[in-house]
Amino acid sequence: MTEDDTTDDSIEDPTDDGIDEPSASGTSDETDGGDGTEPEPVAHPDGGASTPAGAREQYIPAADIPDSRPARDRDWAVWLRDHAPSLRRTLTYAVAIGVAILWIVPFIGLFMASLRPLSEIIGGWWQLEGMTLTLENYQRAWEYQTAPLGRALINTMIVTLPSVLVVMLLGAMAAYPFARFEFPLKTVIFFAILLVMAAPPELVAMGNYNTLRNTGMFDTYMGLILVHIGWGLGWVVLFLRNYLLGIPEELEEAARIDGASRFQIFRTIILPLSVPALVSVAVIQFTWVWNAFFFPLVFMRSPDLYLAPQVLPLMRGRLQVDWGLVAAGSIMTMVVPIVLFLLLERYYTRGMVAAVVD
Amino acid sequence: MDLRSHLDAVGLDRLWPLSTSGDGDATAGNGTSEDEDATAGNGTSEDENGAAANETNDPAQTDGGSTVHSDPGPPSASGGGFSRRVSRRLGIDHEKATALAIFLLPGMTLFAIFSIGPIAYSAVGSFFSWDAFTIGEFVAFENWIATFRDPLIINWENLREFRFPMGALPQNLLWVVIHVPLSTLLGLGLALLFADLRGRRILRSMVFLGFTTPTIIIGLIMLFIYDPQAGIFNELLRVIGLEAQVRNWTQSPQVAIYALIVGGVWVQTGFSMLLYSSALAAVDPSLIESAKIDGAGRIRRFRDVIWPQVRPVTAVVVIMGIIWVLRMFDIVYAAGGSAGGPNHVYSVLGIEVYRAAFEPPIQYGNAMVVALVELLIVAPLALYIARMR
Repeated sequence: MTEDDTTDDSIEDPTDDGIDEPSASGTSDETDGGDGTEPEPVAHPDGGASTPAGAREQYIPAADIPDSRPARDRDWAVWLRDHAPSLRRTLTYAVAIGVAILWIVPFIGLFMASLRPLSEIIGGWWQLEGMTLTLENYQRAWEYQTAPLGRALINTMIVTLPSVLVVMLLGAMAAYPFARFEFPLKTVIFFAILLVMAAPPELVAMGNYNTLRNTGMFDTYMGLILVHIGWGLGWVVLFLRNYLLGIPEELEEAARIDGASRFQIFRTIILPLSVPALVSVAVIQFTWVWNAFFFPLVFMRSPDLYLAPQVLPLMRGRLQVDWGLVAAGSIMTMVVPIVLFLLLERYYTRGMVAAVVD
Repeated sequence: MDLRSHLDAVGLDRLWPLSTSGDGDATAGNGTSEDEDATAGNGTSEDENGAAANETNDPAQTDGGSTVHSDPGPPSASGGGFSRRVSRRLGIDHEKATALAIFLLPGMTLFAIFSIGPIAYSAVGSFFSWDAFTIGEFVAFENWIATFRDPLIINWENLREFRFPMGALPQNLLWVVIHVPLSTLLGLGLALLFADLRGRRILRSMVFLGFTTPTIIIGLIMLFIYDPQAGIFNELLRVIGLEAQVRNWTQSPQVAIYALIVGGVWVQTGFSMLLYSSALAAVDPSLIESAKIDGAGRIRRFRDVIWPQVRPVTAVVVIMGIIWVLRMFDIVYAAGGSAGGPNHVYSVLGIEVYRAAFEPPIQYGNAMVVALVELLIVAPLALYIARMR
């Protein structure tokens, strides 16, 4: 096995943000040998330290280039010494991993509590001896008497899906003129959107409460869905508009010269090009609507219409908190947005950063 | 909130390529008129097209302010369709008007009814008396005065002695003052720590996990952590020998709010870390390399190379943190119910809005005032972000 001596571990891969794979530090150079076995001397302008001096001279006659790369001039121990992560770096890894684990300890506790009977939780979920695992908590939460969580999760889905899909469609439609055309009141609407994005959800609760009461949509799926759509449209329009501004207008010009109508342009050019942004919108809006607690609390009053986040605080009970029940219910509720986040993490992060930074 | 590119779009420079200066003043002028529009015409804003057409044209001529032009396209590109655009603008373009209406009306109508409308409704309603959910007569500032005299909002007596409950407004501001610097610094620290490690995506996801979890669950987890028997925090105290300190932290009046703030920081650090990470990724690595070669130590490298480039993000992180804390509702509700803890010791503004509006005795006017106070604190900050870019 030939090691590529030109690999210089002072160059840490700083650019490949987002595509790095988890692998052990330092020792990964073992795998680099695979790439380095090609006889062609790879140009490593930065690895001058250990390259044989001859190779550094420029313009060697073609005949003088050796058929194979120079033999290794360092032995195994030296190589290991150079490639083993420095103490400082090892420490950094230890601290980083420690912090990250510390950050999810509460979730680990919640998960453990959801799997164990109450008597063991009271003694501490971190006591591992004599551990009994049971799914009983999940079953009890699923059939919780006041408002079964199974029903509540379905309700949450019924509210979330239309809220997300409609916001995507209407948001994209409204964002297109914002990015491309001039029209009266554009600035005013733009500032209204900014205002709504800053406003707390409590501010719209009173007005919406009366609106829904007067139209008979209070305590219905439809009412809550409409409130979520109205509330989400602001940031979605702004977000998609910023994205569309980044798409060159020449594409549309060409289509317009060919006689395409604005709707055709929207459908055949704008929508396909904004798919990545639309996915971001979908993920973020989904988690927000799914996680929303205040709007359901205000607008959903019948127990069989309760959404999942609404049911969880009820499970707390009066005197002794039934932690197993609460934990199992919480896990079932949070698993949906978390799985979505992990699956579409790149879109989520990108969208999140773009939504607030742009 | 990308105002700069917005200015490019709004500033009529595509129509009038000769006036390339920015429209910072123009938008300011329009921005002030927005409140009246929002209150007056919430559902009907699109019907006022004709009336407002002149208004949009005005500022373009009067502009003469700072240049905020970020990405001026090559003049030839925008000049190519110039004559066609002008003719389209001057002639009455029915096709364009219809298209605009179809694109804008559905979304903007819902937005007006369910977002702008209610805000206007609250702004107006805060000056009226309310009989439960029915609006009464005009009472000017009566609700405002009553709200600020309410010891649940500001309890002057306890505030002087810094004893809880101090009222929702001071408590919420205290939350901001502690939470925002902590989560910002921790976020920056973690972003720097993870910046060049392998597997940093996994580490970041672990820290960010709390932000994707329903906040009501965060509140319940806080209860769980601070539980006297089952809570890991009290177990930690027992292990390090502080047996006397063991208590139900979320129900102890004088410390409960700090216990909950820790929970807020725990969640929001992930968010600020995310923003800082993306800012750090944009720093040119060769700059750091050359600073290293020039012999700059870690601290100098941070201060002179990295910090200037991530500083703009700090404003965003801080302001988003303030907005997030002022919206705080779920964590407090989960820990203390709609009372905001025993004797309201960690009640926040959102809780007060909810209780005034939806729990007897219903005081709709006061709820509107409190919610507007929240907006008044946040709105200038949001405008600041918008203007910054």
